[in-house]
Amino acid sequence: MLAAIVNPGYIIGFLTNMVIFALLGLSLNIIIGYIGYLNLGHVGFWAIGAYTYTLLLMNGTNYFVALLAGGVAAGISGLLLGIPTLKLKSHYIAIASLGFTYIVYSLVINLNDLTRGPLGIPGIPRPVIFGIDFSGDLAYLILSIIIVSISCLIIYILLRSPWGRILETIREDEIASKSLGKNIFKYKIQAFILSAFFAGIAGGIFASFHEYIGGPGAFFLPQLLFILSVVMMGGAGSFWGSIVGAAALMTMYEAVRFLPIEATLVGPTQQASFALVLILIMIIHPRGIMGRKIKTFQK
Amino acid sequence: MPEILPQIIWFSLLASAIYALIATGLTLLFGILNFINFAHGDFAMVGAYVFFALAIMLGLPWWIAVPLVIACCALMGVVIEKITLKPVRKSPSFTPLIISIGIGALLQAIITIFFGSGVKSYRVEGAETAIYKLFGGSLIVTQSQIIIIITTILLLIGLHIFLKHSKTGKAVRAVADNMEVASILGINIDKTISIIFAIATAMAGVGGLLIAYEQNLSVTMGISLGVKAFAAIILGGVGNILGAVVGALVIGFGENLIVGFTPIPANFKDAIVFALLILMLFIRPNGLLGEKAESQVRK
Repeated sequence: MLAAIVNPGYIIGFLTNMVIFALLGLSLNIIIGYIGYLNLGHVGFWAIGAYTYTLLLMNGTNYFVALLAGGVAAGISGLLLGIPTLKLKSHYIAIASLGFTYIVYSLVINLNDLTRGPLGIPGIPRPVIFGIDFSGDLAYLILSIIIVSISCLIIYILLRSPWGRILETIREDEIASKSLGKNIFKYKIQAFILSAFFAGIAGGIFASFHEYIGGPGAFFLPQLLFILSVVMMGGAGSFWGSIVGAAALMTMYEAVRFLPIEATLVGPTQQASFALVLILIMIIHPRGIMGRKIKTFQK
Repeated sequence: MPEILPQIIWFSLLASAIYALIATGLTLLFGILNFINFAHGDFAMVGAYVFFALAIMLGLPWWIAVPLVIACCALMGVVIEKITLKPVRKSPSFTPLIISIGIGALLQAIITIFFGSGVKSYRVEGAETAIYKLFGGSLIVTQSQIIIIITTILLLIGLHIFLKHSKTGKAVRAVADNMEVASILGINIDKTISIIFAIATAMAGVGGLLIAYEQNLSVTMGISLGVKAFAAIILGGVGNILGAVVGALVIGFGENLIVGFTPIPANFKDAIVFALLILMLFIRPNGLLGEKAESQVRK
């Protein structure tokens, strides 16, 4: 058991997953924490990014083009989901965006010609950039950290900019920001596109990391629960919170593997543990580990 | 094509009946607590598994097992409300909504731990159900299907009589209308909310066991049921019981007619329902029967 923990391959895999989920959590946090909507369609954006990236990369497209295309495809889907839903009240957005996750999942599972359905797509390559081979696990972890750090930096700058302040104004008092002449719908759509774009980027990193995407149950509700828990545990509206949340939950996820239980019970025990964490956080401390008091969750 | 029409109408009615049982509970909860319970489909799933444990594993006769299922589900609803939702009753509607997502996931995990993730069935080897052929063989009806329709109609009529004519039912409607005024008038809010939870979860549990009786049981069956119930209550106008029934009929007929008469494969049933739902929220957010809901749904 100890040997498994100190095995470098295991630690590298653990860290890569953590980095990917930190980006997923942070990008979802733009919607939950900054404009105050519960977007349950994030897994759908992630899946669209992952499949766009994979299909382009495996047909010989350049790595960066494929990665960006994944982000752009996800961003466009964010626009398409945002237009009909962002004028609704928050619980209707939750249901409509959950619907989006369903629709994407149904397409992934049933469009066999494109996605190979429940079989998934194996053999997704890792890139060689400027002559540097990133196919090793450690090299790929470093590449993931670089891309995620750049993404996080962009999100950080945007959220600290006047644009990010306006998002927070909308969350705290929509009518007041409207009366200051802000086109709030435009800002919400922009935030949705930004959030979806980085979920798509995370999809690209994820696909090459596992060298496989798909399978029944991938990009669906268990992952949605995990990402939502990352955001709420770290703290809605907190930049560093999502990163801390990803680290904490990923550790918990892996810790369950070392419990003395049967292998078939590991999956449900993991799910039960996130669900419990999510419920307890929302009851006891809805602002999460690092979050501030925001109107969406506390009066 | 016309020769399969009676059969499709019959299947649509069956689906609608079960959706109506689940959707009426959901809409009752929404009317009182102003949050959408994402765990409602999973309450139905738990009902189905409790019946499986009692009637198939323990071999109890159905006339003992069914009341026990109703009691267990009602108790589960009351306990869950007391532990998880009562502490956050004063919070914005976001908080209970996320908690209910956690509860749904937790219930799925617990059921998987106890029963495994495989598909189960109530059918006993060698036992045959009666089959009736109508319209010269173009409509085949089984005994279990007739039981489903009759049970649903009786439960819905019972609920209607309870809410319209009993003293507790009047208290329930008063609390749904205005909680503060009801509490000033001396209605016990906690007790009324517990009663609503007991009724809503018991109805969901019965819905779950009926659908499992007709089809199969699986841990994820509640997800799809929840989807249909969301769609039904939004179509019918949220908080409106008659609306939930009408919505259930629209969803039940809609999905079966589309799958029966168009080349769209049955796998896309849930996705179609959700796509229609998003479209509906965009075009007519107040539902088919809703009047003043514009202000409830759109900002």
